Amino acid sequence: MIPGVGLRRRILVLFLGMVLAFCGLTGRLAYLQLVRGNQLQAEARENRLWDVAVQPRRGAIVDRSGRELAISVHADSVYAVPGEVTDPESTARQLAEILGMSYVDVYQRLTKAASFSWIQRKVPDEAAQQIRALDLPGIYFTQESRRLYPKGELAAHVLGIAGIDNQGLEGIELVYDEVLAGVQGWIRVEYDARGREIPFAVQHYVEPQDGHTLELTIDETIQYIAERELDRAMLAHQAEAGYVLVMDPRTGELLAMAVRPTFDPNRFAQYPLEIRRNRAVSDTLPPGSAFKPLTAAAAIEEGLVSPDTAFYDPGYFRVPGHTIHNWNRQGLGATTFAEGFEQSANTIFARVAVDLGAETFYRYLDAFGLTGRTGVDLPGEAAGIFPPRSQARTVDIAVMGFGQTLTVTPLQMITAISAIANDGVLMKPHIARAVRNADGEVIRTFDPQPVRQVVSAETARTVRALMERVVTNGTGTRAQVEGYRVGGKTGTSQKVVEGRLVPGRYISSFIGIVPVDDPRLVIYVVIDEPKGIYYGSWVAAPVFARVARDVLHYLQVPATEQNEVADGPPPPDPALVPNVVNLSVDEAVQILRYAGFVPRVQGEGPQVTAQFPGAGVRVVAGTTVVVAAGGEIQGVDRQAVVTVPDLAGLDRRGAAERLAEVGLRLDPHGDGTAVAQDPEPGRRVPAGTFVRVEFEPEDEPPAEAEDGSATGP
Amino acid sequence: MDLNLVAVVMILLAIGLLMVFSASFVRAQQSLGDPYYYLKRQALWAVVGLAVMGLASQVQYWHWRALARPLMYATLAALVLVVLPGVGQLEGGARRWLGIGPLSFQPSEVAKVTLVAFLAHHFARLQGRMNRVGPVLLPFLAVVGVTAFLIMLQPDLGTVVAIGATAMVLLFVAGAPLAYLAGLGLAAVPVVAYLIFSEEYRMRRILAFLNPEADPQDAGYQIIQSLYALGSGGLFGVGFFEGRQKFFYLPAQHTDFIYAVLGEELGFLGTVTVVLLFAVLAWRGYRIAAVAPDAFASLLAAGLTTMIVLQAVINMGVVTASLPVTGISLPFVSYGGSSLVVSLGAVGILLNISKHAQG
Repeated sequence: MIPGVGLRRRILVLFLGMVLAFCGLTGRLAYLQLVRGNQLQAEARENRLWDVAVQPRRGAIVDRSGRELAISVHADSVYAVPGEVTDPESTARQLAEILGMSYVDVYQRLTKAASFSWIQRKVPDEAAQQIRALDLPGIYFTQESRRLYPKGELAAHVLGIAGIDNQGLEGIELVYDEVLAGVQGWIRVEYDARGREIPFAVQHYVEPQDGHTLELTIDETIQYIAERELDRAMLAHQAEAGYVLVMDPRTGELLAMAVRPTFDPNRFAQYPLEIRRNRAVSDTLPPGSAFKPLTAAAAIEEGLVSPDTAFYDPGYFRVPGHTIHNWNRQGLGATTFAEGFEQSANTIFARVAVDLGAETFYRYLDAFGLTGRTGVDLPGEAAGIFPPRSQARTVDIAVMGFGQTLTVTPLQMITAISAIANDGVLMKPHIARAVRNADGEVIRTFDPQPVRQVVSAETARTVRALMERVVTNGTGTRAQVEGYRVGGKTGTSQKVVEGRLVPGRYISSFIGIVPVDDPRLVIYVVIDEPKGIYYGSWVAAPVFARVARDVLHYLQVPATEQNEVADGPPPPDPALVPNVVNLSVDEAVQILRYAGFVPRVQGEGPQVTAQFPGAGVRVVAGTTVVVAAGGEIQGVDRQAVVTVPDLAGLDRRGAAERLAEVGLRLDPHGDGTAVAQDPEPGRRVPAGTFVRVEFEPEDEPPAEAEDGSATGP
Repeated sequence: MDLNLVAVVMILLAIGLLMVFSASFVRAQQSLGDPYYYLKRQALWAVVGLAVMGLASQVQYWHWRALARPLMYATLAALVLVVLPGVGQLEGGARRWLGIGPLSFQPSEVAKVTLVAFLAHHFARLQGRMNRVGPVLLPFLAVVGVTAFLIMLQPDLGTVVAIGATAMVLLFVAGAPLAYLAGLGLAAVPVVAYLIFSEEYRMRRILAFLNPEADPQDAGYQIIQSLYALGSGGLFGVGFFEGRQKFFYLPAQHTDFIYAVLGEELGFLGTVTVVLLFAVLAWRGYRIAAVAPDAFASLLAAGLTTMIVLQAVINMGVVTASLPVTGISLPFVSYGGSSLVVSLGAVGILLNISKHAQG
């Protein structure tokens, strides 16, 4: 039975149908492999390629002399390739123990449905070594860099913090993130779908570029001094907050910026944001009478007053709806503007401000940079807050004349006063000085930037003369510094909360220029809510004096005066702390008071069980001595006890620097190199203790006697 | 004897062995510790298959006509056995294998050949009477239906599709009126629809076929990875052994998606070569059918050729995302013993028929 023609024909049809299918397939293949080939290939590679980031080393932040404030060190990060972990339970147990993590957390990371899973990043060296030794399958390391702030809390608010991914989060770390961060590198590796490297696969390495080194205007030693003195004041006055700012008025460079309370950037997560915020630039405060030099500058520049202008001060000044009094409700009677300044007479400044008129007054607020931001290179800067100028009543102008009603940031305040110190030229404050590359070459500098001439050099000199009188004769005598001419102004302002004055809560401040005849430094001290005595002349002026004195010595600014400091804590009068342990509390308090110390009692026991500083230590009279009635001393920083360094052979500056590093103060005698010191090296003493150092000239005195300025160009 | 056919099959077999090794060594090394595991087994099956082919070429084709019915019943019995729990071997959620001693085979693969033989016999008997509904369609529907039903129980949709399509083709070649085909086609629509909608994974496969990017992590994954592989190959391929997609990106890289690995490594030239080889196989197979000495031989040759070529077309269609994923392997190339032996056996039968060609 031979197949018929029909069968053959149908087989042909079938074959042709198959041919059609083959043609269709060929077309489809051509489209996929030839037309879309490149695109699909690219997508496929994306799908398989894994870019592993290689972090650059973040640049260091150094002070103006190159001392390291923030550095990056290499640290290992541990990760798992879950597919390769053979025994997740035992692996998790071992890792959890070494890394101090919870077993469940580690287990989940080990068993994650992913080809890559971090276990812990930037682990301590010791832990990394232990894990390496275990040689666990599926557990790997990659090197990253970890940010370290070797000086701990020092300048914490300036430096800010950087996050785990090398990103600046706060402070200078944030503002100059681009400079510091460097450029991320990559290793491009091809992986199979289970997260293993494909043998002979594409590998590509793009080297990371390390970040640059940022040099700050901050001087580490000056910062130490500022923080040390601020800490002392905070402790002595149990204040809520405090600031010490030091600026070079000639350049607008910030030499120190101390803010309390503070934090350790190495452990920043343990501190609330509120504490990490740099309140010296982000918060505004009423400056109080420390503002008066600015009112005076405006009035003198406008020709309204001169130091000799006669005033009659009845002790009050009436404006529509209000009467303004002096702080002691006393009038000076027939007087001069200079005397009114010296005695900080509110009435006279209210009148001067009102006479200037709202428009002129606001013009000077603008000119001094108080109504806008200074443009400092720190994040979160606030501008001053003033009554809206169109609605300002006479009483507002009058009260602003002596620094109430308005609020400004501590930075704005020191910047404005620095204009007085800088012959009327307002400088833009800044904190970055230079950028250096890996080879240490300067690749960018931040030059001083004059903003405007606010008042004439003549006017500025006149105001400085008035400020000097405040310190020699007036309310600021506790700001005197032996050997130097000081100009300054005290401030005591009532706190403003939600736009209202709060009775009983004060801000004590002092702003000073030194040497006032040839200004090198402007120092602003603010103590927020001191307990007990709150006048700026008592609380802030001594802090200024101590900071100014130590910084001037450190900078080797030549002393010009033979002045005897009138009163107040400086000159230091080191006294022996008596032993009060085992005495009754009442007795102890009495003895300490008698010896010139400020006792502070902790606990409620009948008897003293511990004291700090300990007996026999020489500290300045007026230092707070904490006594515990029952139990141990609480809340005194462990760092408060330091070891006296050996200063032999150092010059004054070197000695001051070495002492500042550990928190001690220099009591220098003579010139040259250190030949003797007391207490002797190795002794344990409380921070802030004076070390008396005898200097004697060497046979060949150094050629440059004058230079050594850390603030010079 | 058609030596062209032998040559085509030997080339495909060689390509298959190379590709099975290239596609499987990663998986074999990682899960079995022996990169040659699949190659060795496939080579062994190739030897067995070639022996079966040689044997089948020596068996006169008319013996199959006599055996068509008993073999069909034996196949159905095996298909029943395989779905019985405890008898069929479970693998990947499906019962497909029957073990005999150390060997195991898939009755559904054997069913492809026995059903073709049965239908060839059935239609050869009815030549000249193909327009009679009862005698033509009732046995056809009964046998094909039961076979398909049993295979669906495993479940193995791919084989059902291949068998169903081949049966329809045979019905057409045998000369059934086109109205029958159209009717059966229409009747199949609700059945197919039911099969798709009754299983969520089939539904997802259809949706993924229509839009692979909608679900790239899941159902669309294999399609996308397959296209990545083909696209990466370009014109010349990335080179034998050099493929990347087989590193666990492609599912079933040495079985149903081996053509994608081939496309990546050997490029458009490789894939088109395979298309051409199957086209030559079709040409030789249908030529053997056309010049066969009788209707049974002609229908048997056409059926076996269709069975092989159709599977190849569907497999390549799936890999190129021209058809929804069904689970059909590429004859002679994909890893898999039963399929290889059965395909080579079918070629052996074709060779025997070719010996009796009517010039």
